[in-house]
Amino acid sequence: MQTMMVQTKIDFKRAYWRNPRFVIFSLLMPIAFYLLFTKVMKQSVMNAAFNRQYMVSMATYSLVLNNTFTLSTLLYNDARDGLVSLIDLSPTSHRTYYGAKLLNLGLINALTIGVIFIVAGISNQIHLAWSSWLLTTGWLWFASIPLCLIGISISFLTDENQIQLVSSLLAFPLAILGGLWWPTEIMPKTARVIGKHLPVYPINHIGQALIAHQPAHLGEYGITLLWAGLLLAIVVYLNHHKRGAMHA
Amino acid sequence: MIEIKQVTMQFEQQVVLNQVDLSVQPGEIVGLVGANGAGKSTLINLILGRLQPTAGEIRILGQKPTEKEHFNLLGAMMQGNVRLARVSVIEELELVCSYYQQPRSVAELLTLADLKAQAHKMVSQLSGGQLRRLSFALAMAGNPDLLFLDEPTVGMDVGSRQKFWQQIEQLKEAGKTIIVTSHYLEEIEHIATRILLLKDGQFQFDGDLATLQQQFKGTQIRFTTDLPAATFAKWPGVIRVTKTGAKVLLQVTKSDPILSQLAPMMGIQVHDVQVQASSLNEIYSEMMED
Repeated sequence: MQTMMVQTKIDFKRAYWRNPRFVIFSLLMPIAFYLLFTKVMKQSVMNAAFNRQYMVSMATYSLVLNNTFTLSTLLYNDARDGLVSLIDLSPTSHRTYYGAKLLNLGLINALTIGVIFIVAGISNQIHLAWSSWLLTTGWLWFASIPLCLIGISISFLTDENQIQLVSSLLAFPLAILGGLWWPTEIMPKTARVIGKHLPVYPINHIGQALIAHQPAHLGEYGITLLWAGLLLAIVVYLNHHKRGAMHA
Repeated sequence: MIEIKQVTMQFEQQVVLNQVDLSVQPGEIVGLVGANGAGKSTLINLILGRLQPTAGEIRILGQKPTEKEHFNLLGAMMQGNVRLARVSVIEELELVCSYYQQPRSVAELLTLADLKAQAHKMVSQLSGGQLRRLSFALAMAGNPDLLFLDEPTVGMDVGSRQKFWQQIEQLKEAGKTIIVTSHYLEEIEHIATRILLLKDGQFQFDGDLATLQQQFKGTQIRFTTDLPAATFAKWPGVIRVTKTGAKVLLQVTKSDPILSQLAPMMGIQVHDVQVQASSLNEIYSEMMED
């Protein structure tokens, strides 16, 4: 337990607190987008409902960036910089290592959702019942599991440039097709259909339904769970494959 | 401490280790010597469970290498450094200390690695030598009984190397068991109580330096003369003659018969005769040429 706490504390400092890339891309950029679309470009768009929906979209966008870019880079760097080898040669287990990473990620995901909600709430006077805030936060936090698994899968790549490339190739299309930047209704039908079956769309859409006190489609929960299962299988396979390669 | 029985390690078609046997007892300081690619790091990685042998059996502290328990009793300073971004020296030590049941204190490790002045510096800002010293501190975090040092002094300046080997001397006196590889053979010669010479996938020698010197053409006779090198080349027991100007170096199996032959010439044709045992470096060079 002590190992996990120390590791969590140091990971927090190095991966988030002292990492300007995380602060800029995963936190400040979604906040800037939110303020840009809801305050600066206010005349062309909409109303209180849009402000709420877009708040959820930007919180989801922050989770996408945090899990695909920051987590994958952190895990990759730990392997590259010798920490994973050091753990192999110490009494601590990989379970503790990953446990600390997930604990940290859970805290950071909750924190980023909270910060974006607070900024949105204050800047656009969004007033909701506590239950709506909590339910939406809880859902986004829980639904970040498949995103986290995407980040872990990317970290198995063996080159930093590949990590950046694949993270970008996944995160931005997922965000666009998931309707985080603009409504999916303005996209071609094929793109809409594809987007709805990718992991980000249902996360965002259910979040928006929860914040509006509307029922979400069960199918969207199903898609999220399916992706979580599929991505977990991919992570297990990649981990097994990597260890097999190491011992070959 | 370590038991290796008939271990073979093969990477595709290349046999790196071929039916190797080894037993290391507590308190031994084993110097593992061999050319690049001879299999030194492979052997260490096998003992540490980072590689699986193609055949054979390895036990470390009575357990399989992959068991986690015994890692509380061992430390390893491998060739690569642990260089975490945005982490200070003190934080990296704190992190690694948390992995062990009974770690040394961070302050103690900073003193041990002579890194007190760099304690709050970011690891990414350390020099190559400082990083090696940090790696040593990380290897010592669990206060190990068995220590692996794989090329420990690469990148260290002369002063740091001296301090480092002083620390190893103290560990030797404290009864720790150490397996060390280094390209600086004079360092191994100085510290090791046992030398393992690895070549062609097997130990060509396993014993102390004195035995190695006896067994492998271990004596040199130096003198000055105007006589040609060929005069000495055919004397029984002479392995090699090197002549540079008037200086002659004879590599011999035993010095006494050669000195008897030289005796009538001394002071007349042969001057300044000196006899000395070959260093590990010289024996190693000789063996690698064979």
